[in-house]
Amino acid sequence: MWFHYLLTALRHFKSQLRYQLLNLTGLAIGLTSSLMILTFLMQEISYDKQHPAISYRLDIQFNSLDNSRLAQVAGNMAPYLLQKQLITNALRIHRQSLTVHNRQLVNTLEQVAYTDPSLVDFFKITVQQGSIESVYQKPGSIALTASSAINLFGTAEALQQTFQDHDGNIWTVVAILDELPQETHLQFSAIASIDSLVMIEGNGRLDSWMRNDFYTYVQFTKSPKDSDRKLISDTLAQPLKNIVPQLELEFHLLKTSDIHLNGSSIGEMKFNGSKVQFYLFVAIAIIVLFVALFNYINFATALASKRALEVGVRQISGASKTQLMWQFLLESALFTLFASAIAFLLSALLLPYFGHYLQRELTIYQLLTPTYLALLFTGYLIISVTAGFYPALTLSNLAILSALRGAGLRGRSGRWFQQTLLFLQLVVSIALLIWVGHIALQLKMLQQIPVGYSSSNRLVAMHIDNEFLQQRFAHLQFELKQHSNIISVSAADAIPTEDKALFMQVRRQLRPELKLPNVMVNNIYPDFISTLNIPLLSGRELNIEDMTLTKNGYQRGQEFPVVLNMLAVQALGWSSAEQALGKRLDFSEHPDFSYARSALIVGIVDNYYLTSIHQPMRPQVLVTGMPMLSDASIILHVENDAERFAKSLFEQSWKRVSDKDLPAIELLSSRFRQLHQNDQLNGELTALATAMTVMIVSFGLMGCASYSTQRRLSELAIRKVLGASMTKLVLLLSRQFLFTVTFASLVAIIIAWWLTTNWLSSFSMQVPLNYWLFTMAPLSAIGLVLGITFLSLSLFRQYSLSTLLKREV
Amino acid sequence: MIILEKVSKSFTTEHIETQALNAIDLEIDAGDFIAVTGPSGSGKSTLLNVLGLLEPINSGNYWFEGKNLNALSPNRQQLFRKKNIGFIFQNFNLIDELSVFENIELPLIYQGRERKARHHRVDELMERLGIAHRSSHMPQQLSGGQQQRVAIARALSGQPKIILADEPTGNLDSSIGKEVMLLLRELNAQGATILMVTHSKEHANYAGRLIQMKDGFHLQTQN
Ligand SMILES: Nc1ncnc2c1ncn2[C@@H]1O[C@H](COP(=O)(O)OP(=O)(O)OP(=O)(O)O)[C@@H](O)[C@H]1O
Ligand SMILES: [Mg+2]
Repeated sequence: MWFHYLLTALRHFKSQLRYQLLNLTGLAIGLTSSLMILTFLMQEISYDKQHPAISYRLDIQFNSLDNSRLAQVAGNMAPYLLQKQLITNALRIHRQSLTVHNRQLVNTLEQVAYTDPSLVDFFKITVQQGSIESVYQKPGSIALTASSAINLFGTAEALQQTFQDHDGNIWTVVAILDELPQETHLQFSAIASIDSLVMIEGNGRLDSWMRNDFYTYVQFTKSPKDSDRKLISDTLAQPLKNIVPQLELEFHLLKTSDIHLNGSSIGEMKFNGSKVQFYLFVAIAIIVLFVALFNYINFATALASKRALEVGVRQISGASKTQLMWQFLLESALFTLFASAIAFLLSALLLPYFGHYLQRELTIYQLLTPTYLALLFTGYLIISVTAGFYPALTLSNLAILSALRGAGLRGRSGRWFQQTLLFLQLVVSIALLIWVGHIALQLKMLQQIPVGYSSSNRLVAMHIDNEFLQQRFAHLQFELKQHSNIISVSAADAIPTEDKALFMQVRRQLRPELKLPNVMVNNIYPDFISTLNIPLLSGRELNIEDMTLTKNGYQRGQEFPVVLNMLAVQALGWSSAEQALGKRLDFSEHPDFSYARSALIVGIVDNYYLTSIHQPMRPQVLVTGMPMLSDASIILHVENDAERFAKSLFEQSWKRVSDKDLPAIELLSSRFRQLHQNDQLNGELTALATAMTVMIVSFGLMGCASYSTQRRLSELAIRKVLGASMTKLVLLLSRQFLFTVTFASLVAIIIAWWLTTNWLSSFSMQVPLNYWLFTMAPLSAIGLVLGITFLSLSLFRQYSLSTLLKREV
Repeated sequence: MIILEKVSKSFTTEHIETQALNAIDLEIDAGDFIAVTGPSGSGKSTLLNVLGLLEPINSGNYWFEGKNLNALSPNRQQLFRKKNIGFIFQNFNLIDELSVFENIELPLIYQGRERKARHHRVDELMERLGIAHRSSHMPQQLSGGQQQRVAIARALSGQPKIILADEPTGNLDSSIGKEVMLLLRELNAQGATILMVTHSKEHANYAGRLIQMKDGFHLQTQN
């Protein structure tokens, strides 16, 4: 029996090869995209699930002004919570780079993680050689990942090797670690102990309530309730409020396994995943899968109408309805299996590229786990039953006599069903087309948006020791300016695109009620404003004398010069730049303005975007000679086309000024692009999904149209003989489709309008709705229908009229 | 074997009621070869469909070997039909995607017979009907007469108690039609019970009994 079913299925496939192949392609495309997306989604949710126990990361959020939330808290927080017995275990991680002197070579170990010994209770760290415990036995012990070991020593067999750091401390390699897997939010190149951190820089950073320098993870006996979270937040806020009474802040616990998708605090270890993207993918997968399924059902139903007679014959030969149902379900299962096999192979081929595009490592092997395979199999069953059910049901329910007369599926309800499915497919594709068009326009506009500074021909060198730069900036600037290709040189604690900031309290001296609590303060170096070409609205920019003045006078309480941006000027109650110029501010680290210094406004600049354009612009105060963060970044403005060799120029100058390692150099414009790569990516992905949807729907239309032509060939021949023109025939054939397309267009326009306005509203700057898109998308669908019908009439021309009239086709 | 008692069947389409069968009484014995004739629209096909359980009746009784068939549920009717009734059509109704052999085998498959038994039976039938050399051909590769032989073999393969044939020679030219009639008579001689609708006086003469119909009435029976 099964063999007989199989045979019939294959013969049918062969006898309608053209349509079946079209149908197969559509389904395979749909399944391939869903499968690839599923692989990605499964990976996204697998992050940080491999660790020995559930833990939470402590984030701090400043509720004054900008609600900025940091991924790191101060070193005293974890011990304090342990002492109060609010948690059962805690882990602190501080990351900073370490200079390595190994024989003649000087190298930098980026992102050394200084950790508590509890590390292994929290995270799964795989050791190749040595042991992780020995890292904590003696300061100066370090565990290297295999790749860092190779970087430093040229071999992964580096156990017991020693090196010196910049200050002459001796370090010993006590363990070699596996590379961190992709599925973790952690990122470091080596592990050392907190004691080692104390060894190299004392315990100033560690013993602090204010320096938010430690990623802090905590564990509980049972998962914390809202009340527990509140208690922890209040407990931790207390010591801070003792120091700064007006501070408004709270602490959040973020489950470690949620960091990848939900972590968006300042200073995340890695460029995390994105929840928006995750859901976008879910939506795309569902849409593509449904369109492909609808397409298949539609196609299968159309093709099934040819089998009415067969059903009648089988019935009089003794087949029961159940047997017929099984037969057709089996056929659909077989067909789907075939499509799935193609999809599996295609996915295996394409996944690495898809992954590369998403900056993930994706392979088909990720699908080969038992759970995943079980999931796939269930999915397969559901899809083949869903897809096969309708045609199978209609076919097996045919009345014998009408089946034998070949009346088949020409019934009303069948037609309705088919047109409804087609309708849904068309709505989805037309709406998507319009929406994607707007995404493209919006993204294009965003790329041209004035960010408030120039990023082209600007190079940046980041992670420069700020103390060093304070001393040697003038020298470095002089050296660099010797090169005629370098137009200007500056630096700052935070350059645009850089996600770091320090906050202070500012108020007007004559009207203290006008204040800016927790305003962003950036320490800049001379020529910063001109190097970035930030419009100076009034006054002057900060120069080398300002830097010296502040450096020498700030501690002694002397007045120092500042530059404000327009938002700060407005927030402080001035209506124009000129009004603010020459006025004085109180400037303090403390909300109660204790130890306030007087600042003189010497210049006002226009607002510029500090990071991505999704982040609103903020009030900002620029100071100089007052390094606030440990690292600063250098910025160069070079001549057109000088970007290529600017690096070697920088290297020459750097060597004259410093014996430290050459910092890495990047283009400011590419950093800016990177910040928006998610927008870019999401746009491209949606476009891709739309292309696929449109393709599948076109296949469907193509199949349906040529099939209905095929079925009406003799009718068409009679009409032709009676004098109908080709145009008339095209119209006749496409009439049913045209109605569906028109109606679908109307619905699609409404949905697209809603989608587009909603999506655009998440941007601070929006492109206007494009009516051209709103008209072209439906029109092209109508054009497609006409075109396809016309093509399908080529079938008609293959035969002579006499053959057609004899109904021998 | 079969007794129809006052069987009536009417069709209602758009307010017009057609009385296709009007209180028909009919008796068919095992081994009968009956021809049904009558003008177009007189209800011959309807009679056949009723006998084949393809069409429910409005009133009357349909007895088959003492069993009242119109009392059976549709599922039971289907099972009964599978075991007891074979069909032959004017337009052959072979499945295009199946070979001659597979077409004949079909009822045996649905009866759940063993593969070996099926092959044995199909080979035997093809031998008997002279189409053995066409075993692996597809229906389109056969002439009309050959196709009808295949259809007859298929009707016989499940060993039904009665064979219902609606104008089996209608699509065949006269000499081939005659061949088919000879074949049917031979099968009848070998024990098959056959009820056949035909328009041809000449073909009707091959049958043992002749039933004439008019406007849904059973006019007369000739032996
Ligand atoms: N499904 C149906 N719906 C409505 N009326 C029907 C149906 N089937 C048959 N009839 C009507 O019943 C009557 C008998 O039809 P039937 O097909 O039995 O005639 P027939 O004797 O076989 O004719 P012919 O020699 O032309 O085949 C006719 O008037 C026909 O129109
Ligand atoms: Mg008839």
